[in-house]
This record gives sequence, C-alpha cells and structure tokens, in this order.
Amino acid sequence: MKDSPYQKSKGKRPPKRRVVVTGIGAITPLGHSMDITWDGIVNGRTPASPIQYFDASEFPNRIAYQVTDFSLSRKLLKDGEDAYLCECAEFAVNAAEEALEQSGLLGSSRPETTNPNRIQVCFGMGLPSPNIDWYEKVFFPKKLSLEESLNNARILPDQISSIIARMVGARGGISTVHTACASSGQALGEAYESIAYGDADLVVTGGADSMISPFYAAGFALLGALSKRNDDPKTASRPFDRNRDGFVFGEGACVLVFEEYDHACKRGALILGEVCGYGITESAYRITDLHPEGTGPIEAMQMALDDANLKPTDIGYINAHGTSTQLNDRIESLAISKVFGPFSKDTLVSSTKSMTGHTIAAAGALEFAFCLLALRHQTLPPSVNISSFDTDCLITLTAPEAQPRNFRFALSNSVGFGGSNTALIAGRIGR
Amino acid sequence: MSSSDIVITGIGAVTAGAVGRVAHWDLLQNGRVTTSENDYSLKLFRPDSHVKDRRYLRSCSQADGIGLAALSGLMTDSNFDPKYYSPERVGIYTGESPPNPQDHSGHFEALEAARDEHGHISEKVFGQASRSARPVTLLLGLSNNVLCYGSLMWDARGPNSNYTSSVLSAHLAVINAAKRMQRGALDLAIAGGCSDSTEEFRKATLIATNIAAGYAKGTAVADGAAFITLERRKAALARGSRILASYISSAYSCDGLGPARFDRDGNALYDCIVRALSAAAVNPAEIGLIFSGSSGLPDLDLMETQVLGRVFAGAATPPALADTSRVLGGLMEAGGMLDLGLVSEFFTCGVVPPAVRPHVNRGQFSNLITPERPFALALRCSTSGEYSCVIVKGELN
Repeated sequence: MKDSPYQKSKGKRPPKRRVVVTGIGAITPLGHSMDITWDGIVNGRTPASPIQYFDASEFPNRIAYQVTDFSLSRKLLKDGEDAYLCECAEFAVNAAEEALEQSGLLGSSRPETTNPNRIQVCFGMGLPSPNIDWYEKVFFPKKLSLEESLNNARILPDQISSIIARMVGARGGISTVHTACASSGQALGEAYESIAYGDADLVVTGGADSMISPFYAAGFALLGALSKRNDDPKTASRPFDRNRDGFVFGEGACVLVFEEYDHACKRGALILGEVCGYGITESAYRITDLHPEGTGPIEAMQMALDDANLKPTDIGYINAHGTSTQLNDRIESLAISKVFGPFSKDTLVSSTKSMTGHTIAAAGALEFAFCLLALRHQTLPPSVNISSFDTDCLITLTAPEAQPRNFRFALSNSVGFGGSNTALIAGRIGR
Repeated sequence: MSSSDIVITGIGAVTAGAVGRVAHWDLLQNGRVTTSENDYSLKLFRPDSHVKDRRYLRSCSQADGIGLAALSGLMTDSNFDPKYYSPERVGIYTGESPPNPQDHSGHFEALEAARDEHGHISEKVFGQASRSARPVTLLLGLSNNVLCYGSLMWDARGPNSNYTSSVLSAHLAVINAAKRMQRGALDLAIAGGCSDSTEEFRKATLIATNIAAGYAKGTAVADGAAFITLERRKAALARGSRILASYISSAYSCDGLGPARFDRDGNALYDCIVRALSAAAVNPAEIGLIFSGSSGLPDLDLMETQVLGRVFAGAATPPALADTSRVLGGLMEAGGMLDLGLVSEFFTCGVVPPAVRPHVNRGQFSNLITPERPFALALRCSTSGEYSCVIVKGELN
C-alpha cells in the first residue's frame, strides 16, 4: 500500500484542541431515545416491517424500518416553528432536546460561561421527501397561498439547523450539509474541525432523514438498490451476507453535542467520548458506484488515522457503511482490508444498518454515536442477519450477539451517492 | 501559511445576464434592462454547449446543468492543468439549492397516470406507473450532483462539501475550502454554488413583483451559478496563472432566533464583520469597498446599513458600497462569488458603476474606490438571521 497522500501535510498542520462529546439524542426505528436505541442494538433487534406511510402494495420494495408512535415534543419549540418542520426535522427536534438535556445546556443548568458567539450548529439534512399529497397541493398548482407556501418551506433543508441554533442559543453560525448518505458524517467532521482548530467551543451537530415516500421508493427501486425480501422484512437488511440483495429504508435523527475538552471539564459536563480524527474524500468515479478498488473510502480512512495520529491496529471496531447492497459491501470491505489488513482480528467490523435500516443522511451521525457507546460500554454491536457470511468480503465481523471487548478507538465509515466518503474516529475517554 | 497566500485565479459564472468573467464585468459596469422577474430565469438556458462532457447532463437537473456550465467555464478561466496538482489535494466545495420539484419530470408522467376517475393520485397506481420511469429520475433530484460531476470533471478527490444553507451556501463553500487550504489539507479548491429557484419563488408569490422599481416587494430571486478557484499564490505563479484577487479572511454568524426571523439590532452581523476584520488584522479604515448582502427586504437592508455604519463610524473616509444583486438578482446559493472574483476590476475602475449602486439611500458611503485601500468586504445576509463575511484584496498589478 502506498503512503497516504495526506501524510504530505504532516508537520505543517496547526495544533488541534481536543474535542469531546457531551450529549447524544436519537429518534430511530429502534426507539425514541439514544438509550433505547442502544439497547435495541445490543439485543440485535430488527424492527423492519411493511411500509405503513403509504399504500406500497404495488411497489417492488414494500418494507422499511419506521419510527412508530412518534409525537413531536413542543418543550423547546416556539409557536409557529412547527410550520417549518418536515417529518424528519420533527425527529431532529426531539433528538436535539435529548442531546441538549444530557449535555446540561437547557434551562437553569445552562452554563453562563459559554459565549454564544462560540456556539455553532452544523447539521446534515436529507432531501425533501414529498408525499403524493404534497404533489397535489404544492407541485401542480400554478400559484400558492401563504399557507401553501409554508408547506413548501417545510421541505427546505436548513430550517431545522436554524431551530436548533435557537434552542441552544447559538450565534457562532449555522451550516447545513448535504452529501447524500455521507451528509451527517460530513457535518460531524466539520463540527469537529471547527472546535479542534479554534473556531468554536461547542457545536451541535447530527443528521436527520426520512425517504420512506412513494417518490423515493420508486426511485431507488428503479436503481435496483432496495431489498426485495418483502415477505421477510426482519432479515432483509443483511450487510456482508452472501445473499444480501439491497438496502432497506430507515429513518430517524441523531443529534450530538461536540465540545472543546477544557470547556466541557470546566462546566462539569459528562463526557461520553472523544472525537479523535476525521477523513473526507471524493471518489470522483460514478454518481452511484464506488471505485472498484475502493480508493475513496481507503483514503478517507487513512486520512482519519493520520488526523488522529493512530495506527490501523489501534482501531478495535469499525462501524461500516455496510448498506447490504452487493456492490457497497464488497468494495467497502475491500477498502477496509487494504487499510487494516485482510480478515484482521484486531479490528472487527459490523454494520448496524441490519438493525436500523439505512437512515441515509442521518446514518453517519447515528453510527458514530454507536461507536461512542460501544467504547463507553466496551461492547461490540452484533452482526445480525448473517446466515452465510460472504467470504469475498475480506473482513472479520463481530459476533452474532453483542460481545464485551477491551478497545480504545472505533471508526465509522460513510459513503454517499455523489462520491463523498467520510471516516470518523471515536476514542474512549480516559484512555 | 498566512491568509494572503491564498489567491483567486478564476471565475466561472452563468447568470441570466451573462456567461463568463469578462461578460459579467461588462454587465456590472453597464447594467441591464429588467422589466420582469422572467429576466432572472434560466429556465430556457441550454447547458449542452457549455459543459465539457455532455454525458454528465443525462442525470442532471437544470440547476446541475447551470452549475456544470459554470464549472466548465471556470476550468478555462483559471487555465487549469491537472499536471500541477495531485487529485487527492484538489477539493470541490459547493452550495446547491434543494431539488426543484420541476426536476422530477420523470415521475411527472407517472403521477399523472396515477390519477383516478375523481382526479386524485392513487399511490397504488403510482407504484405501478413509476416502474416505467427512467432510472435517472432519482438522480435528477440529488442536491450534490454538481459536487459529484465537478469532481469528475476536475479529477478532484480531496476534501469536499456541499451546503444547502440558502443565500450563505457559496460563502460557506469558500470559507470552508479556504480553512482547509490554510490547514495544509488542500492545494487547490473550487468553491461556489448554483441555484434554480425562480420558478418556486414565483409560484410561492415570494418574489419581487416589480423588479424595475427596485426591491420594494421582496427578493428578486435569480437563477445562476458562480464558482471561483482558490490556490496558493506560489503555486499559481509557478504555473503562470493570472491572479484575480487574494483571499484574506472570513467569518459567519447567526442571530439564533429561528427560521424567518432576524435581530433588528444587528449584533450578530456586527460580530461577524468584526471577527473577519480581526482575523485579517485589517482595520476598518483599510476597507475601500463593501459588497452589501442586500437581501431586498427593507427591514433587513436597513439593519445591514446601520451595522455597516457602526463598523465604519471611525473611518475618516467612508468606503464605497456596491450592490451587485441590483444587476444579477438574488443569486441565492450562487450568490457572492462574482463580488469576490471581480474585486480587482472594481478597484481598477475606481468608482462603483451606477448600475450597482445601492438602490436605497446609504448616504454615508462613497461611490469612489481608492487603490490605497485595496481591501474589500463582501457580505451575505439571510432572512433567517444568518450572516457571512469574506474579506478579499484586489490585485492591482
């Protein structure tokens, strides 16, 4: 393997500050909080079911991991703000509330010492997911009333970032990122760099998405990317299994509070883990396919390792992008094997998409949160739905049940349509 | 590396008024006749003859096509030669508008075919009808297509991003690309944005209804794309590139009041400008030209003017103020790039061309641009209280 091109810049980089995580919140098909979601991961739950949001009976792919019994929390919302919320942004509101509460940033526990100008929001947001009703009400008419225009505003991707900024009192700036399935991995990476290089002390970051709509069900089906195991939804998402046949839609949101280490210590925040490194590359190959040699993800992982100043053997666990498509899993595992060695026993791999489905723009944030919790609990997430491991994937999977493991670092991969690849490294605090 | 080591070496731009750097400067100098919002639409623009590899256009929306046409023009304008750069150290940072529903034309027929006898669209029938749509239908709606195809065009495999942050998007692209370069992670960055939103804004009756009368009734939303090339001065000179301007510093901020609200006191905008000046170690008295954010909304424009008054209150001679959106329209995700790339033309000209003098009374500012103060400050202001500021320096030799 040739040297990483990113090593060229070693020695020139400005010093970095330590970045830690002080709050995590999630709304996922596994549950309405991060704790419940993690419990679902550890127990290998696979809550996929027939699509309930619309009549999918005539679609080739009719299953999804859906968030059920959800109700929007209005605790932190101001009057009228719900008009700006699409469905996945509603998930993000509840997830943000959980993350900010855990981080001690709400109400009377809010630290006076935090300068609002040093608080930012950087969020990875999915594409608008209009339903049929939306087309009828907004797309076809030639003119819209103010109320109808607000329906249009509900699908603007930057509204939720603006609402989260208000919730946390951020005045340091807002950015909203969209790079398809890499969106929130990228948002987390930019949040991390903003703190590491001194532009902010605290950044609320994360991602949200829901593509379970007729439009996207039709679009992804045409691309042949979705599983057709409609009769057995719970085992349909099976990353790295020989008989995998596509991904299964998921949906949800995950919000994290990133904070400069000293800043978090001074205010006595609970530190859940550390963000140690970030890599971001572009495959520049095809819009929907990875380069057959896995070059983009390889370079992203190398870049993250360089950034964290770690060796491949330091990484005990990789949460793979692992979509359960033939192409992604084969090429991503090839990329992992090139960086970490074939069938490495030091670095075990799983894809939690077998338990959450593919949450698209939310995936990077959610899966990085799983890395943090895996480190915190010293527990490897299980590899679920593997009936026949695909030995063409040159990796060692985690066990079918969650297992204890003593490890200090974990890496989360994201790969997006359009070619953006991210790798984020999480560290166990107090290592 | 100091900030002034990053230079702008090219502009690629497509707007309703012009294509390319020279044509845009001509447009800004001479203005244009605008009688309706249709003048800002690129609905009829055909990118085929502008894009280097037309295969990309097969799965592109109109916004993508406009963006790729601008990126193709940028390649020529910056005289890009890949032999000078390692692909892993070239990065593209884009801003792109959310998918325009009009781009989903592949599903349009399926939607119409799915109407029942009462005129309602049946999901069940849509499920059947959509099977015959073209597979690229989904891809037309991706908001990071320009990042993807631009990367293919430039063989750019380094760090990248795509922002969907409304009118700040292109500035955020520049800000983050420049930061990456300053940290030593990139040698060449392409930054900018593209937008195709006039149709949606018109439908939503959120567009100015009388462009010729100024911005009395809202934002004059315009379609377009504009990108700039950022590279290190030494590398640019080594390959014989023309230097258009220097990137100096930047900042962004927000009011934190939620969507569609901004603070009329303007404190966050003030902080944003002060931070950018501080990062540049530039005194307000050294700023010779300001490109206003000019949203077109009277209250926001008034606030911006008042904030600029506070920042430059101590300057013995007021800087000049230009509002390029008077000619270009509100370029949304593409906005602000022509301000940065054409700054030297403004300094060489020595006066703010009449066509881009602010419409509202901003009497405390000058129309004269003096080369003794070669720094320019470019602003973007959103109606949701988000602000960005980029400081560039004209290259007058």
